[in-house]
Amino acid sequence: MRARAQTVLLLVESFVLLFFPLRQWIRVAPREALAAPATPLDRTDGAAARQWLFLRQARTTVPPGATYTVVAPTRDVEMNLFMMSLGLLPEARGLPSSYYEVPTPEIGSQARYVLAYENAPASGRVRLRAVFAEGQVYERQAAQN
Amino acid sequence: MPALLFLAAHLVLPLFGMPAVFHPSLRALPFSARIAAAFAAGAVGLTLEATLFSIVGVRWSAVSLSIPLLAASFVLSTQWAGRRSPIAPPLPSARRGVVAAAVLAGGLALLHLGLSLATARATSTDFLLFWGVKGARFAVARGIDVELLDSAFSHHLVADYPPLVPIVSSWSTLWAGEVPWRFAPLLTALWFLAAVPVVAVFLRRHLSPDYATAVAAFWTVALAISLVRSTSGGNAEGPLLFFESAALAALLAERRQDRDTSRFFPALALSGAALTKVEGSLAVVLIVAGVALRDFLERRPRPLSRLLPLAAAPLVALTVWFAFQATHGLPVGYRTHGELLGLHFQYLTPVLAGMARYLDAGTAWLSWLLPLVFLTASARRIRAELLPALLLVAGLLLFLVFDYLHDRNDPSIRIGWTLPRVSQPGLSALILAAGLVASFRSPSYGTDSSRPAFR
Repeated sequence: MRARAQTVLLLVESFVLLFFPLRQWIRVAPREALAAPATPLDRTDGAAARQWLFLRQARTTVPPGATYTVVAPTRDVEMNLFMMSLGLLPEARGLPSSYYEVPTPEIGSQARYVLAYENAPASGRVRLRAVFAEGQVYERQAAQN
Repeated sequence: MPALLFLAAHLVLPLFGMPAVFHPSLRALPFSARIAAAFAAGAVGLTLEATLFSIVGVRWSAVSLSIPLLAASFVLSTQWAGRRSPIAPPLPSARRGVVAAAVLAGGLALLHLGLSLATARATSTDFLLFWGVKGARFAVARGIDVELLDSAFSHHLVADYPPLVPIVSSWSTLWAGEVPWRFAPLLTALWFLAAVPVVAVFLRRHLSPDYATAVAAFWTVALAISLVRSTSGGNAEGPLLFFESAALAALLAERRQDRDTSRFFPALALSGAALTKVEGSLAVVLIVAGVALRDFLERRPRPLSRLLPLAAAPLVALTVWFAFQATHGLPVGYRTHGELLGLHFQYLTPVLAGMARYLDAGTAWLSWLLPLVFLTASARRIRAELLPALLLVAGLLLFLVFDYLHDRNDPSIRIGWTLPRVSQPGLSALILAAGLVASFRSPSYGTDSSRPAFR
């Protein structure tokens, strides 16, 4: 009897725990609940989701083997973009314009492509290659590859 | 299409680990648990092989990685299938009502996990910053990318982390042609799903079928919710939870009088844990120490010789990873987090407060509190038998305090980022320990001589 009571208690406790995700799902509008995400971060980090979207679009402009750098209005966003870009552009070579908020212009300036997030300025002689809602991609004119 | 191929590559792993299905110590288990064991063996085998390939300079491809593993799998499967295994009567089933309630609760929790991962509600940022990045780059490099790991700008990639997750991801990327970034986090559910039958079946060796089913249901619900709460989609937490929980459940299921119970599976799972995360090695040390202490205190037969495979297998696995580092000019071993005893005790209060705050597990702390209350209420029945689990819980939490005290600044924000996920193996161990205390109450199914003997 005691063992049976323990079993029932544990099962009840399991259902009690389920109250927490249930409450979470109830708060979401039905249409929104199962909507397919545009990025892996849509519902955990909106700012990073937008950065990811920019990189996903920008990668089509950067050919395999080419060098690129990322510039952004703030250093922390630039770092985040650089980290994600290494995975989204695995065949290209990322050269940071800053790393953990330490500027590295001597490295970034060697890149052929500049992925400029939210209208961040691209240094050097550049040609606009693509425009997206979140930013632009430039190609440096006389840069090494 | 890339998503399907990425998934298919994961589903091929049990073929590489097929010998586990035929291993005499596992043959009596239900098919789902044996396939999960094969999944573990496949992932560990692939990781070791791919790392060895990179040591000697063999380029990775879907074919080059598959052929040796399939050949070895076939040979070992044939050998092990021919070995006799002890006759074990089938484990009695739980009552239908209990099974139905457990399946409903566990199923709802898995649905919550699956939907949260599929709709980007539980994606780990680390997946996009380094776990997935390594997988993508290793696939392009056709091997462990030394240039990437050795780069001046690789600090964020934590180059010293062990290679299982990037290698499995890279293997799948070789199949798919690219990382399906939106889909890949969903595979965390696959690792978790693999853990459920393993935990459930080993619990049934100790507990009555009804109670074991209820404990497995609680474990499934608590950990599924926690994986979502800790946004563990796509990072290494799913695999680590699988390996550590499987090893622990198998070791806790050993009976006191067993002389020859095989430690093949726990040794395999601990190797997987050591190859998955740095914390996996800590768990190996704590679990092995717990088993050693338990076996010594309970005067179990042949404690030292039986401990050897448990400690040696993860050590060999780690040696392969460190050998790769050594042969490629990378720093050998793991990066320390500051000086060993450079502790900032002025942050002890924020550390403890932060830890208390972020151990909520997505259930307002109930997932921790309910087993804790049960263990406390049963304090008089706690035995050495539980040491592997209790040492893991206590050791992991103390280690985390020790780690957070190394921060030069207030670590509260880092605790909020990391604690919900890194504490999960501790939660798993606590639930298993609390569940097993019940078996010490009275001569029940757990101590009955009619219990099936697995060897």
